Amino acid sequence: MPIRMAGSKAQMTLRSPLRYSLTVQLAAVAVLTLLTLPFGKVAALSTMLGALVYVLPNLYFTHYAFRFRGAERAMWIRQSFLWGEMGKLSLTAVGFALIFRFMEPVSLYFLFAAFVLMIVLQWWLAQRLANALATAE
Amino acid sequence: MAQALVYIAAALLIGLGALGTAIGFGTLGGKLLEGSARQPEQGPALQGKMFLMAGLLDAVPMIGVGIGMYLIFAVAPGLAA
Repeated sequence: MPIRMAGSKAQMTLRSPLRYSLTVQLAAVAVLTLLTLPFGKVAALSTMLGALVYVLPNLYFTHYAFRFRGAERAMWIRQSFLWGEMGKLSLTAVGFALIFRFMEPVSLYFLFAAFVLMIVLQWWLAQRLANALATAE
Repeated sequence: MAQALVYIAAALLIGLGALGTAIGFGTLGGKLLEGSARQPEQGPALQGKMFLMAGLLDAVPMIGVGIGMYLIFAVAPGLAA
């Protein structure tokens, strides 16, 4: 039974990397926000926004990265990665611009700390996805 | 003058970061095509590895974009006053 559960979990990871990323990252956003709540409302809101400004563009990138599969579509995969990355950088710029333009006050430390933490979480997630894809061979 | 320098700093920060990412992605994409052509059965594994490397590659430029936006929208307007 545990083996079957592990297998189905890996299959879910492979079937929908977007949904898997969304679930894990939104859970991390919620946990980080709750953890910073004792530091005050501004700190918690800054943490949430800092995490979301990474998560939302990253979901866009993940969607593009796994739009195509298979070696025969390698050219499209490469193209899709480029479009996804362009969108990710642009959306991040827009997100930060909106925060600095319209959010007052904002805690820079919490904002950037949450952003960097989400980057590190993304490395871990990507490692898991890469392992799942490699073992699916 | 100080405001103009801040804008130039932000432009360099974002522009050079994007340039580095573009070069990295070009190399990554080229290697993906090469690897897929040599060993087509490794295609999905290579795609996963590319996704992982993309995350590592764009981490620093993303932080650069954040700091750049902070300079443009928070620091520069304060210098004008």
